[in-house]
Amino acid sequence: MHFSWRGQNPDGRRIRRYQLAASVGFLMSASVAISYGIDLLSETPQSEFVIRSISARSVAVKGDGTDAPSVPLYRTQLLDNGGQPSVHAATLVNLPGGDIGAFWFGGSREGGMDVEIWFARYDQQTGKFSPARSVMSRQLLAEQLGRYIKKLGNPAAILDENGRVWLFFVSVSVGGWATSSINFITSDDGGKTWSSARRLVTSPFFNVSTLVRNPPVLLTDGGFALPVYHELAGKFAEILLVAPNGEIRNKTRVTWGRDALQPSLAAISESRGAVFMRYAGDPPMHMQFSSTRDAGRHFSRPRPLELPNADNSVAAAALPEANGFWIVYNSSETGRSALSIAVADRDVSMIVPIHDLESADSGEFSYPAITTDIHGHHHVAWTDNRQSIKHLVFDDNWLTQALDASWVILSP
Amino acid sequence: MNFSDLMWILTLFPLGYSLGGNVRAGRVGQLIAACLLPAAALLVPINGINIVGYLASILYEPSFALVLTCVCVAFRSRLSPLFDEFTAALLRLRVIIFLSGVSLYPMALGLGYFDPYALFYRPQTAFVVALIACGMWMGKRHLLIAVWLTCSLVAHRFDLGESDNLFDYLLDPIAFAVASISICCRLIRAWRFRNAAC
Repeated sequence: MHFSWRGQNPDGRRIRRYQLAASVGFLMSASVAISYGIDLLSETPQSEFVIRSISARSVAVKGDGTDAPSVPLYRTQLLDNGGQPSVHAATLVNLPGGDIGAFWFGGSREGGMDVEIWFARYDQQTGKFSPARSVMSRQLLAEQLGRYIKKLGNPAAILDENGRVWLFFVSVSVGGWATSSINFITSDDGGKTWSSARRLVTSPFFNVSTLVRNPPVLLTDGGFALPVYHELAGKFAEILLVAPNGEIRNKTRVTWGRDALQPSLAAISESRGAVFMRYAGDPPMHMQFSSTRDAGRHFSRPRPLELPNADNSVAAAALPEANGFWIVYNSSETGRSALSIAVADRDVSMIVPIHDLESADSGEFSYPAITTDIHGHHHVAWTDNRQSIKHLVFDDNWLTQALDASWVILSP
Repeated sequence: MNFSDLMWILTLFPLGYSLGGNVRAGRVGQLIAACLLPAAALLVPINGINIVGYLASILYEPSFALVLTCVCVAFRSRLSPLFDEFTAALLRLRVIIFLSGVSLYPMALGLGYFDPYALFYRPQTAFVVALIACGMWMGKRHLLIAVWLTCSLVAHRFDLGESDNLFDYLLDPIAFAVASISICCRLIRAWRFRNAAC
């Protein structure tokens, strides 16, 4: 084997130069291999889900030292929509200090170029939301990323262990929702100011078609498991494992094919979690479900639940103290005119509707979002006829009554 | 200037050089075209965003496969002395790009439960790719592939690009499309040549 330079006459000096270049290349590759090898040796075990045991029942019992039942809390209100004709896809997050933040997108219409991400703060003292204000617009995102942005979409937020609020949201540069990508911004002051946006690269094919709808679950290493979905070639759910610095560490596929999207991930223990998904396949239309026993590394084969789902978004969260889940979903088999709460046991082998939030012949009540605050109060927000975001707060007393009325016993 | 801008410049420079050659502008004209194209893409704003920004809206940054393909095609005559058989080296790279794309893209887009793209987030995969790169440098016939793997690994190791996935440094859909078209054209030419010979 020899190398020729300028035709067939080997030139020793040039060959030596080539050999020198090849040696440098080899050393670079070897250095990279060694550095990755060190990474592998020092790799920490995969993190697990963080379980925030709100233990609302214990709070209620410990509260005043008496067994006298307090008045159940169940209160609804409409949020200020910022003067926008169309609002949709709310998400809720616990803010530092105990307040609740609500984010949604609003503009002249869904997919419009004037759509912005809006934010309002729920004050625990007054029980009222602040006026809505915009935290992200198409123009601002384009300026921060240096890219063309056509429209904005679904937000999803989480509060990390350091008190930082992360807001993930969808943006589109070309085409429709199926060509979306995910961006995020962070706030260290509870939503007053926000960092510059960063885009996540989640797909090898022009980074298109990864969307977010429901909030992530915290991991023990400070990162989070972000449920996302794909809807270009197929419709399937995935979990992104995001590091505390916003880098993607891994991606796990929950489903595949053309049926399930908008996963809602709920962790019931450090290793066990459940994913409830919107169904977009052929009838019969039922909510899809999958579970993990290793903190999101692997998921069970998806299966339909008894709950109906006519291509509608769902929201689910764990009730750790009750060893189960609560789910808000569209209970109509044909549309979005009815919205209900259901509870399920740990294995989701038993799932029971316990309350109708909305029940009308027409109209749209959709895209629910749920969270539980530090006082153990449960919050639900949903789209009310695309004109406003509606909020409900209820406590464990009300939940217990609703469970009793439905003859449901969730064993801790 | 960030890494994305740099990669777009490295892609557009050889493209400009090739375009200059097509209009027979001479060596100086070729170099002017090579400089003008990335400069215009970087400096001319449209609605406040430069052309690179629009390109990056579609493809966040070109992979090293695309950059190397463009460089090799544009500077073929200048690079050929580096390789025993330049055409064979470029063909090998294209075949690898094509086979990687054909096997990985459908699965990454949802064909089946297994997602090969996810593997490239993990250091284990990067470690294996780095070992392969070492082997390529030792086997001297694979210089082009060794350069491709090493550049991608270094850029990924130092988090230079937007992506956290090694796959995005190695390969992109445009490089895959270019490699696919090139291989198809070559196969058609070979088929025609064989038929003509018969």
